[in-house]
Amino acid sequence: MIAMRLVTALFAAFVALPLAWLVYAAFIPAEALVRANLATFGFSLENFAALRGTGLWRSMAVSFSATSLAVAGQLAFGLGAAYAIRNGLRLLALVMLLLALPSELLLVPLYRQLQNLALIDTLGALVVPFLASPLIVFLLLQGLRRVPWEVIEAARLDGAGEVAIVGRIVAPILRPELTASAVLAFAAHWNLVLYPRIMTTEALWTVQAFLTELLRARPFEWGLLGAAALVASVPLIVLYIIFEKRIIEVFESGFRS
Amino acid sequence: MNRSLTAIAAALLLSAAGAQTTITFWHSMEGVEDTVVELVEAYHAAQSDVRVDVRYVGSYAEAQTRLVAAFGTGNEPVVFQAEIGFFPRLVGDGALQDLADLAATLPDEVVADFYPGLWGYGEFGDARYGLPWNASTPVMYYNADALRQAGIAPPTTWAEFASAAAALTTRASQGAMFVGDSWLFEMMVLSRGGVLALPDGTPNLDGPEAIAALTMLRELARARQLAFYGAAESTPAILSFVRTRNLMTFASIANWPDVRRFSIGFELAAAPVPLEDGGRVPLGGAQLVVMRGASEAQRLAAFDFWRFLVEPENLASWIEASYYIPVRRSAIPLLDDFYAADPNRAAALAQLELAVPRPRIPEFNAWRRLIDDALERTLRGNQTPQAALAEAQRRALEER
Amino acid sequence: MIRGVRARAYLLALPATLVFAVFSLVPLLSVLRYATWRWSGTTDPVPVGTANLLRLLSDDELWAALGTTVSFALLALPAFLTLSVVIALAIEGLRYERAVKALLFAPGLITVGGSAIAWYLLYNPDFGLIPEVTGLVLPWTSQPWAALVYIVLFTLWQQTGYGVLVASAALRGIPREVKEAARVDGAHEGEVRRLIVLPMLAPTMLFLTIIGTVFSLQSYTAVYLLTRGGPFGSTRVLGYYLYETAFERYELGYGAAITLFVLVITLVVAYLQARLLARRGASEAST
Repeated sequence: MIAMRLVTALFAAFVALPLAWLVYAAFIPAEALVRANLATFGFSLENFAALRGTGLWRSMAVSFSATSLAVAGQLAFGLGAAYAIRNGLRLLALVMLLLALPSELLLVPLYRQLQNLALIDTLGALVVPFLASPLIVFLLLQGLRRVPWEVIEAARLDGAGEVAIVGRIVAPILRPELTASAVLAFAAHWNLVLYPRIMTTEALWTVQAFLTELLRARPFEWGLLGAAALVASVPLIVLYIIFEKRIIEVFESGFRS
Repeated sequence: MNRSLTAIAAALLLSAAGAQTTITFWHSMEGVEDTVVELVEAYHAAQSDVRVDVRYVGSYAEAQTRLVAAFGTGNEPVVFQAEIGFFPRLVGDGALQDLADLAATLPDEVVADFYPGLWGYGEFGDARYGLPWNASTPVMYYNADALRQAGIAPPTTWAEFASAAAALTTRASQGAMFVGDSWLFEMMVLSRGGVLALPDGTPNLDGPEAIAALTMLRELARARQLAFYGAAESTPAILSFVRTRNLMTFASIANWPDVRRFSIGFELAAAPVPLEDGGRVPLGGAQLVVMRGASEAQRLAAFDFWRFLVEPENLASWIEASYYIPVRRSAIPLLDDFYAADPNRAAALAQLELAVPRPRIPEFNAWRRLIDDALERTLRGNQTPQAALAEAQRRALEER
Repeated sequence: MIRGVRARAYLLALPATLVFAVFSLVPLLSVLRYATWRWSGTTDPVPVGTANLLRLLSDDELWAALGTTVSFALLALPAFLTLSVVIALAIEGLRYERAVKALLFAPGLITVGGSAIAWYLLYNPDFGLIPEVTGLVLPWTSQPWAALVYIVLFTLWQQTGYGVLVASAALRGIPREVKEAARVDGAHEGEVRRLIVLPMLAPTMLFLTIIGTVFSLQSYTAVYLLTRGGPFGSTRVLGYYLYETAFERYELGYGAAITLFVLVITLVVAYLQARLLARRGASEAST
């Protein structure tokens, strides 16, 4: 056990180190990094101030709207699909196939698809292809196993429509799974890099596209980059803190032996 | 002759009819996008027949990906800024429109005003596929304080460079630094009078000048007088330079503003690269091209836009913002104050007459990667220059 | 009546199926088509039939990339699984269990570009902060083995958080009575762990292995950000080779063939592992 605790401590330190560095770089004066001595300790908020006017906030607004819409879709459509599968629809093989698809090469045909639908360079390009996710369907399917089927049968006998059943009975029971899926889906969409840069131009860049550009345009300004990276990560961190309990719960309930 | 008459007639018709042509222009000029927008707005103010929809589409690499994705979808741009490594491929693929007839309408004085290497770059036999606008050459950046203190003049030949690197090396800093970029290596070969591709298009990656250049780099690296960084590591490389971990290096003149901004601890200077007899320097930058899918009206409009961009006054404003080199001689007097304010900015000018295009062979793009590999193997690994370059040459021949 | 209900239930899958069909399946069919072309993307494609597929067989770089990927997976997956279990066991029930889990999960939340910068500045052999301060150097810019280790370390840094969360949750699910019974019978902690806990964790570990395998076979973000396939191509994994072929060499037709190659391998491996998982019977994560 001591050995295991030691391993844990070492690994935790290993994980913390780059995070600490980012925070450190964000809070020291910008030019400290260019001077020869990296161990200066001045505290400064100038990096964060410098973020104003760079377009970071705009890109965060874009990311926020696009990701929220995408996640809403993934949850709603994913729940519908999972429910259908639970009712016997043979869709699971397709879902597994999609899980295995390497997405990068789909970039070129996907561009054409979006072009045909006149979605290039619109918010739609960031939302519509992501309205459903195989992983979310999978997760919600796991969650559905918890739902006592008698309740659904009873509701059907009472004459409730399927949509009503899903919305009023299943969804509330699955709240932990939905919450956890929402956080994971949010993080996955928020962190997309290559895709937004190709499908949209500057006005509609997401946070990641913006950060990539910042990295190219001002490559030496690590303080600024660190501050930008932190700010861009804040929504995810906040979401995680709020919903951490739920996420743990979901993983637990999903893996009862 | 008929074609040019048709062109002029069409242009007249267009302007007479008041029809406005809109052309999309995709560029990769990060950092100076505002200047590009200003130029476009000035163009709009100067005439009303053409509207330019200007878009910054990311780095050269991303612009290429975007272009590929857009191909055949009707979303392609009319005018595209093709990096000179990508340009020959576009030509080879037949993706560009011939502009020779339009170029022929230019007055002789205008054509003569362009530097020959820059003007000739877009020509392929009788056809013209590219127009010059942003060009650069590599220059030598150095720490003027350090050289002064060591009593060394900026080297003008490679022998001087090697001994300067040795003399400047101390425990705290290395005399020189080199980023393993094939363009910079090409510079080292060309400046010794060699070439990386023969006129008939065959590769020449293991010629004597290439071996000499790589051998010099290797010896300096082994003696710890030169720091080597891989092609993808240019950012930390430049950073090590501004932190005075090394004192001489090579980069594009267009990098001057960035490097200058961070060289706060010392006086930064730029000079022409060391040259041997018969030496040349490679051009960098891009060509403005018109994509195949553009209409005739758009083709004419694109040419008109380019003419505006290379008016001497517009070129001068462009250069003051971007630090690219003037593609026309008549822009230089307009830049007197600019260069006088900081003579380092003019470091590339002296090399202009010696500037030559990079080999305009579609496969050259692939050879660049082979050169990067050879540099890495020799300067980070253990291969000898001869073996590494012979390997690169072998693979280049295979891929043809 | 039952039929009608079923049909209406199935209808609820329509939106998701539409999205999948339009934005995943149709592009996949396009990719199948591209695989029969030689195409640079900037001009019309040239149909070449099965030439690309045949080229797959004789392409040394492809098989080298597969080898690299397998080496990567063999290094990363066991480490990932072991670390997940060990850490989950070590922190179970402790006061700072939640804090540790949150910390380990954080790299997944930090934007990936920022992570790359931080890693570069910390671990670069020539000027990174760690070599400067401690003298410990991993020569990943010049030694192939070190570069692979570097990529593995970055991947572990990013992904172990998930593994710990999953393992920890699975641990919670082991009924206390079973462990108590063993203790009453005289087993000490080590034996309880070895003979009771670990076997009951096995289905979860298999599940993680499947997800981890798919990820290892396809992912190349770490390579793209940190080593670009170098040095000397020693970290060129399958995913990165695909990216290079399609987006740096502009061989979209051949790139499509490679995509199919990767897809087939992924499906085969995932299928085999899923069968194993199903056969084990237990746990909810079955096909």
